This record gives sequence, C-alpha cells and structure tokens, in this order.
Amino acid sequence: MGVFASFTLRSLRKNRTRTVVTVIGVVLSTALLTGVVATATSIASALLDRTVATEGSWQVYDGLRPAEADSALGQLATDTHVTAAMESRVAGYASYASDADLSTTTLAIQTSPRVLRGSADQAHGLTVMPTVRSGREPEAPGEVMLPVTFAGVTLTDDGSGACATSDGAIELGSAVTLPMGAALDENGAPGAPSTTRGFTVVGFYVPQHFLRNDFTAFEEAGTTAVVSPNDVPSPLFTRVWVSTDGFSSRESLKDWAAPIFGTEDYYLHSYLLAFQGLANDENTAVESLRDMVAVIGGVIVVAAIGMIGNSFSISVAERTRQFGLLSSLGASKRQLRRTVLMEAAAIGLVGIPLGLAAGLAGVAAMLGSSARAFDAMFRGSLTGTAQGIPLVISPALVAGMVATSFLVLLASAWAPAWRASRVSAIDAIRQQRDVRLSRGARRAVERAQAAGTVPRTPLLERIMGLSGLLASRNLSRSSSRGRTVVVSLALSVVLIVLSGAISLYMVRLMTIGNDLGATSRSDMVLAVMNAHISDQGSTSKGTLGLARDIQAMSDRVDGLTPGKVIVSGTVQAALPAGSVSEAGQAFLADYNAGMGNISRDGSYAGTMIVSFVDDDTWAALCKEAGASGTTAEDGKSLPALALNVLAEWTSSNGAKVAAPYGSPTTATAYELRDQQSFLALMPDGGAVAQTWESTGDNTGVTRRQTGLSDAIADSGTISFVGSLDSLPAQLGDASLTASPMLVAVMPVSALEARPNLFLSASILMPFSLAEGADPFDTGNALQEAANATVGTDGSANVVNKVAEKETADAIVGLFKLLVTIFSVVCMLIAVANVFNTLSTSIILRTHEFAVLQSVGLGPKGFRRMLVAECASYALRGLGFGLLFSAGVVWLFWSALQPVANVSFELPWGYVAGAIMGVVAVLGLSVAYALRRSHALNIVDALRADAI
Amino acid sequence: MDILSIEHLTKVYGTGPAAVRALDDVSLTIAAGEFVAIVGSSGSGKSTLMHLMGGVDRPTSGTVRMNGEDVYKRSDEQLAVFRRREVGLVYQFYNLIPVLDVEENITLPVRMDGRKVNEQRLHALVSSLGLKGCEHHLPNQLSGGQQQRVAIGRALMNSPAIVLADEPTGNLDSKNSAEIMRLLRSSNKDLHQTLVVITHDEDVALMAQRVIAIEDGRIVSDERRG
Repeated sequence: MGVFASFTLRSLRKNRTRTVVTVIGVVLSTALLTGVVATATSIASALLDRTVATEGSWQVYDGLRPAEADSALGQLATDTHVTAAMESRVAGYASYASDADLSTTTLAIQTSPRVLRGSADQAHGLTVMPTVRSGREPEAPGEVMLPVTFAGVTLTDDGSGACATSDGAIELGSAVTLPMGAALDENGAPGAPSTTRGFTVVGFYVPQHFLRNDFTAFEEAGTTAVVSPNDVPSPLFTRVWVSTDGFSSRESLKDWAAPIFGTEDYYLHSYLLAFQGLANDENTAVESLRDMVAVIGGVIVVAAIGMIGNSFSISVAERTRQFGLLSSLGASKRQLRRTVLMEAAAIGLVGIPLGLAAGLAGVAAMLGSSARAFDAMFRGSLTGTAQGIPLVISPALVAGMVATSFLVLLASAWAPAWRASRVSAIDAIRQQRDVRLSRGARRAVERAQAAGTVPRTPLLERIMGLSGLLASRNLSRSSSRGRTVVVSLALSVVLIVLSGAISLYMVRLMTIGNDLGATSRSDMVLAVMNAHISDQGSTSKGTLGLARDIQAMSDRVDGLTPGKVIVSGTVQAALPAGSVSEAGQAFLADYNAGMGNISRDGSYAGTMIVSFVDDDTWAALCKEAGASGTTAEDGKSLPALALNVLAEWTSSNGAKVAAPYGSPTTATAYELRDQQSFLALMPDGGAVAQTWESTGDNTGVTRRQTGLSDAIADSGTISFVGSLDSLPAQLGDASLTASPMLVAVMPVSALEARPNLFLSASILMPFSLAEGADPFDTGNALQEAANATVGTDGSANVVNKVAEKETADAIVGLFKLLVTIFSVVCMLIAVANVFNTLSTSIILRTHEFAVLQSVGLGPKGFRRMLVAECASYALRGLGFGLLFSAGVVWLFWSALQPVANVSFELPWGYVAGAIMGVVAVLGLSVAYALRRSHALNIVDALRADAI
Repeated sequence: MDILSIEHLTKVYGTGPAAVRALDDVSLTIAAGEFVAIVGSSGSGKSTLMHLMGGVDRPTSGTVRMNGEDVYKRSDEQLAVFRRREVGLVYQFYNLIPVLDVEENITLPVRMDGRKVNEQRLHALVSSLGLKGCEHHLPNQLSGGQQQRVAIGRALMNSPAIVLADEPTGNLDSKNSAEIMRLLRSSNKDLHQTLVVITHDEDVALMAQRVIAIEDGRIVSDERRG
C-alpha cells in the first residue's frame, strides 16, 4: 500500500463517526436514487406488459394493396430488423341483414393470421387474437369462424348485392354465403363482389378488446368473418403486423418503415413505442413519468452532492495543516488531490453496494406490500389475491446506478480535493488559524475601522452575554462555518415541507371524487340495461321481465345479500300550474334552456324520471311522506311521490340542493306515437309534442311540433299522493337527484299496469356484502351470474363500490407510502448532512475552545455559547428554510391549479416536523460535539496546535 | 508575601511503560510582585509547570496554592473563574480568538465574568500597548508583535494575581521581542504585577529578578539576582 493510501485509510479510521455518517449518507442517496429508478423501470415495464397484453406487441401495422404487397412482404421476410411479422388477407366486405338486433351492419372477411417471421407465438402475440368460444378456428378452405353474436341469428338477403346470407339460424356446421372481392364505397357500403362463395361455420369467437386494436378489429367494419389462411388467393389488401429491434428512436424506425410501406402510409403503435423508449412528444404520460423521475432524481443527486461534498470539505478543512505539511515535504498537487478522491472511493466501495441493495430491497418490499394498488392501476381487473407488478432490474440498470452513484461521489469530493491540493505549505505552518470573512462581513469590519465606530452589539450578546457575542461573531465573521450549517438546515426544511406538500395536495386531489358518492348506501350495485329497445310497452315489459330474472338470480351469489330491485325509466308528462316551485323553475330553465318545458306559472311539460319500487318499499316511502299508500292495480289512477330534491354539483366540490316541486297534484302521462319526440309547452300554456329533426343537408337541426291530439297514442293520470323532501335510503343508488329533471317515485305495479306510458329500460339491484367476503371475487362472481342471467337481452354492469373504495384507498395508500419513503429518506440525508457539518465544525474549533477555556471560560459558559450558536443556526436555518419552503409550496400549488381547484395550504404537520427535526438534529450534533470536545484536555488541545 | 506556593507537584502523562514524568516533586514559592524566569531545555517540564500554575491542567499529585488557597480543590466551573480572575496567560502563539476584534479579545476575561468593561482601564491599556487605532481590527489584520501585545492586554485586563507567559517572544523578531519584554517588565515594575516568564532566551531571563532552571521535571537551580 502506498503512503497516500495508508494516509487515506488512517484518516478515515481516525474520524470514525464522520466516516460512518458519510457512508450512511452515501447509502441513503444511492438507495433513494436506486429506489426511484427501479420503481420507475418496474412501472414502465408493467405498462409495457399491459400494453402488449391488451394491444399486442406490433410496432408497425399497414394494409398493403396488392401492388405493393409482394415487395413489402418479401422485404419483411428477410430484413434483419424484423423480429416477428404476421399477415392476414382481406377478401372483402359484406353487408348483412338479420332478425336480431346486431349493432353493426358491415362484415369484413379476412384470413387467419399467417406467420411471416418469428415463432407462431411471437407472431400471434403481435396483436390480440380472438378467443374461440365454441368450435375451432378455420383450417381448410371453405371454413369460416364468426363472432359469437352471430350464433342463432339468421342472415337474410338485404338486396345490396354484396351481402352475407345463411340458411336459417347460424350454428356450428351451418352454411353461409359470403361475397368475395367487394370493396367499400365512400359511404361505407360494400360495392359489387367479384364472386360469392359458400362456407361452413366451424367456430364462434369472442372479439377481444374494445380498443379496436385486436386482430378482428377493423376501422371500416364492425365484425369480421375469419377464413382459413390460404383461402384468399387474390386479396383486396393484406394486413401486416410487424415488430422490430435495433432502433433507438422513433425517427429511425420511421426511416426504416418508409421505403417498405410508403412514407407516412402506415400505423405506428405509438403507446407501445413510448414504453419501449421510442417516445415522441405526444406521449405525455410517459414523458411525465420520465420528467418526474428526472426531477426527483435531480433533487436526490443535488442533495447527495451537497451532503457528501460538505462532509469532504470538512474533512479537508480539518486536515489543512496536514496537507500543508505534506505539501512542504514534497507531495505534489496530484498526490494530494488523489488522497481525497481515494477517500471518496473507499467510502463508495462500502456505501454504494449497501445503498444499491437497500434500494432494491426497499422497492421489492414496496411493490409487494402495494400489490393491490398496482393491480388496480395496471390490470383493471381485480381479484382477491393481488398479483402486483414484478420488480424489474436489468444488469444495465444496476451498472448505471453504480456508475451514477460513483460519479456523484467523485463529483462531491472533487472541489474539496482541489482545495486540498491548493493548501500552501506556508499557510499550514503559520500558527494563527485565520478566519476567512465573507465579503459582507469584511466590508462591515472595514467600514467600522475606517469610521472608527464601535461594532454594534449583537442581539445575541444582549440576550446571552459573552456566549452570545462569541456565537454571533462566529456566525457573522466565519462565513464558511455558519453558512454551510444554515444552508443544510434550510435545505432540509425545504425538502421536508415540500414532500409534505406533495402528500397533502396529491391525497386531496385523489380523494376529491370520493366525497360525491355520499348518498350511496349499498356495497355493490348491479346495473342492467335492456338491450332490446322497441316501442314503450314492449320495452317496459321486457325490462320488467329482466327485473324478475335478476331478482330471482340475486340470492344465488355467495357473499351477497340482495336489496330490492329498482326499475327506472322516463315518462312524457304534463303538470298543471303550481306544480313547479320558483327554485325548480330556475333550476330546470338553467339546465334545459330553450327547450320550452317550463312556464312561469309553475306548469311543466316534458320528460320526467320515474323510479319504480316494489310494494313494500312503496308502502314504506308513503309512510315516510305521510301519504296513504295506494297501488295501481286498476291502471286508472297511477300514484306517485314527488322526489322534492335536486342536487346541483358545483365545480368547487360542493352540492347545492333545490326543492323543484311546488304543490304537485296530478300529472298527465302520454305515450307519443313518435318515440323520438317529447313534450314541450306552447306559449299559451298548452302542451305539444316536438321532435328535433336534422335538416336534409346535415348542417343543423330543426324543431317540428305536432299537436297533442295527433301525437299521442295513449295517456293516463298520475296522482301525486305526497312528496319526499330528501332522497330515501332505498333509492340511494339510483343517482336520482343528480339529473336536472323532475323525479317521481311510483310503485312497480303502476309500470305493470300501464307499461306503454313509460320508457323504462334500466334496472338497479343493490347488494350488501357479507362480512369477510372478498369484494373483488364476489364482484366478479356477481358479474358472471348477471351475464349468464341476462344473456343477449341486456347488458349487466356491476358497480363494485367496496372494491372501488378499496382500490382508491390502495392507490392513495401507495402514493402516501411513496411520499413517506421519499420524505423520510430525504430527512435522513438532511440529518446526516447537518450532523456532519455541525459536529465537525465544532470539533474543528477545539483549539479555539481550549484558548477560551484557558482564559477562564467555564463549562457552563461553554455550553451556553454552543447553545447560543446552535439556536442562532436553528433560527436562521428555519427562517430561510420556511420562507423558501412557502415559496416552493406555492409554486407547486400554482402548478396544480390548472388540474384541480384546491385551496392553498401549507402542510402544517410537516412544518412542525421540520421545526422539531431541526431542533433535534442540532441537539444531537451539539451533544455529540460537546462529548467529543469534553474528552479533549485543554493542554492537549493547545499543544496539538503548536505541533 | 508569597502569592503562589507549590508543594511536591508531580505530573505524569500516560500510564504504564509509556508514562512520562513531566514534573517530578517540584516545590517552590513565588512572592507578590516578583518577576520570575523559568528556563530549561525543550521537554524539561517548564510548560507543564506553567499550565499547572495557571489552573489549566490538573496535577497527578501535590498542591498549588494561590493566596493560600488550594487551586485544584476547585470544581471545573470554579477553576474557570480562577483562570479568568487570578491568572493572565500569554502564549508563544498568541492564541487570540480569530473572530473577535482586538478590543473584544482584550476584554474577553471581563466579559466572561459578566462584568461591565472599565472603559478607562481599557483605553489606558490599549494606548500603553500601542494598539490605538487597531481596536476593531481582527487578529489576522495584525502583525505578530501586535497580536502578542493583544494577548498581553488580555492577560492584564483583569489585573490578575499572576501573569504567566510561555515563551512570549519565541515567535517574534528581536525588535518586537524587546518591545514585548518592555511591556511585561513595566507591568511588573509600575503595577507590581507578579510575572512568571518561561523562556529559552537568555536576554529575557536576565531581565528577571529570579531564574529557576528545570531539567527532567526537577528544579536544578533557583537563583535570585540583585
């Protein structure tokens, strides 16, 4: 070992406390940096995985015309950049007509995918393949697979000349006829086919994803018939999906794709490319993730350089004389510099691996404990057993972190090393320890000397006597000592308060939405919409049938206790004068301006919302309203309760409540012949049916009015038997008060008696969750049971409030956890920094303290002086820190303003924490320094200096 | 009248085989108003003796009495009070507080006592030390001789019972050395200030009324001069 290496190791050993604290600082900074980067890469990798799972791994997609297909496919087969490629040939389009209510009318005909490059799994993974529900995929010519919605449907000739037809209801083995070679015209209708062919149905598939990014998704057609791979010899066009490697930017990928597919004549999988690091400016989510990591990483690097650099400055300052002596003995500047850098390297050798391990372990623990939150964010589907996201570490990442930490360490040690190399032999041999005055202090001293004035008595001296004078002079005249401590303290305060602000505002932002659902009572709500909307009578009857099915199914799901089913609908009704209050008029006019529904005399004609409840609930509600409950068995008088409360959500997170009804007595309910029309008031007070019709040239709409006598098909009289001034608990899930419309509650018998007067298609079924049942698994089971029950007659959707709340709580919890980890580690770094700076700056002054003691400063006075000095540090550090923090928090708050309207507030808890932290760290440092300087004998200290 | 009496004073540094006997059973007395020079080679124990006289160190055995009172029976706090009231220390390397100006350094012992500074005495002292105009200079703005004069001012400010000077001229050129010795001597002559000077310098030793020679921690000679 060379003399300088041993000198380095010895000086590290001699100042064990400082060495340990510096190593802790390096461990913390490395751990924090690693933690932030590993969290970010794990999240990015989870996002990439999710994108691949839901949208496929294709990077470039194109529909190739026959003229360009051969050369492009040839290139893709040999190009070295291509890792996987797949093609599907499109034979053409067909229109279809059916006896079923299918949502689309155009069918594309394409082949099963054919692998061009890569393994079959790789190639099929380029896009999301449809799931075969029954039967199998087409393998031989003449076989076809259709969407599952076509099962049991008969396709009839619609006379377009390019339509798909079937012999009777389609099932496995049925024959269907498809037109081949029909392109779509500009209106989206298929043109003339070149031929038609017969196919045998061998399977039904479930289309995969609504994002329209899967294999069967077409921009031009709603559904796809899939035929066997070689069944289309002359395609209309060929679809290709390609993944590549070896590109470092989106531009280079584009440059590669242009000659193959034609300039700008292809699609890029923008989202995926962004997660693969080929981002462009539009990918704000990725950009902001990267920016966030950059900002946080930058803060950590700056804090780390400050902290470690400080520690080395002190280490060098403490040994100025040693360096001077070494220099006088012939050590070169390079050797002196290397001594300090070697010290940094030795500290890094211990600190960086520890920090790396701690950071990765911390991230693994955090990912594990927040699995549910990550499931909620990345998977969308939740089960009782959360999977979370895996920790993703690449050797490159580890190497990068090691290199970064090492560079940070060297950068921190560089300035002190340079200073050490410049220590002159003369400086070191001179006995007087000079003070270096700050510019301000020097000017003040010179001015006072020139004017012959006495320096003003410092405030501290007035309070604390000589101790105060010494403390104050030390602070004002020994700039480097005081400033480092004050700056470290202020920085720590800023870090702590800023992390408090992040926590405060983000959590507030995340919880804002949760306050709005206050009226919801149940744990889960099953919402079913009738899929077959036809005339009012049939629709209502169908909905009532669905409601009965749901009620029957409702107790079959384990862990759930069903409530009472609520059927909701609308009615076109006219209410006489006095029915609507002034507040209600203002409210309704505000929301339905220009519709002519409301009159100043309090009459109303238009749409009302009706909630139909079962007989028991109806009786209970009537009792609550003080009304005598009647039912509507006879169908002549339809009883109703007016729900006299409307909530208006305001932007600033609050609700205004209005009572919209005046004194409603009756309402006339109308079935209108034209279901697209609705009621309105004429200026004379009479009601008319009016319809909005688009003008022929698609430029706007006109209003057509029809007299009531011509417009109505049927009518009935609703009689209000009472009113409810608040939303009853039984209707808590129906969101009734949230619509700007008049609401009535009626017994379901009214709907059964006069189904044609109402348009009701929606059913709500509240459930409460049994103790101990898993909300995620139970919710999924309910969804499955509901799907099986409603089949093709409706759509079922479970609103899982427990799971939503748990998910939201988990995400908020995760966020709080991250902020807490960040602020705690920041605080520890700050503590290490302040401790190192302060304790060493005190130890450095051992000689000075010995002199003071030798001329008569007692232990009490000495302690008082240190306390005064630290109090002054604390006050300055806190003063600057809090001032600066307030500014930083204000900036942060201002940046948030466009996103959310939250009021400005300082995180007082964290402010208090910062104050206590400052006091605690100062106390700790002083106690340590006192112990150290106490152990020193005055004579030794005085003599040490004379060596 | 003896102001200081030392009996069987022994100081051992370290323990076991590494123990060094810096002072070995030293006894002596110093009378009020005396000017004593202590001479001896390097490592002979003269600085140790001075520190023990000044209440800076604690002896291994023996007593130091100032005005009849055992110095080392005091607590640390009382010892500090003793140092600032009864003793004035002058070091070879001045040992001024770098952040305090001249006036603040000189008045340090008074302020430590929490007493009001006697401005008249301060001004007299500053002008007799030739520091007029430099009252608000910081130590690093002064020459070595000036710094040592500030140190003497600090030692004299409280009118201590005894001034102990450890090689006060050891770091100075001959002109400044003569000036410092003139100041110390005049304080002894004019103010009857008891003065103990540790020195290598024969010229300095010759100015004293009494010269005590120390070798290996023991007094080898104690001469009174005319």
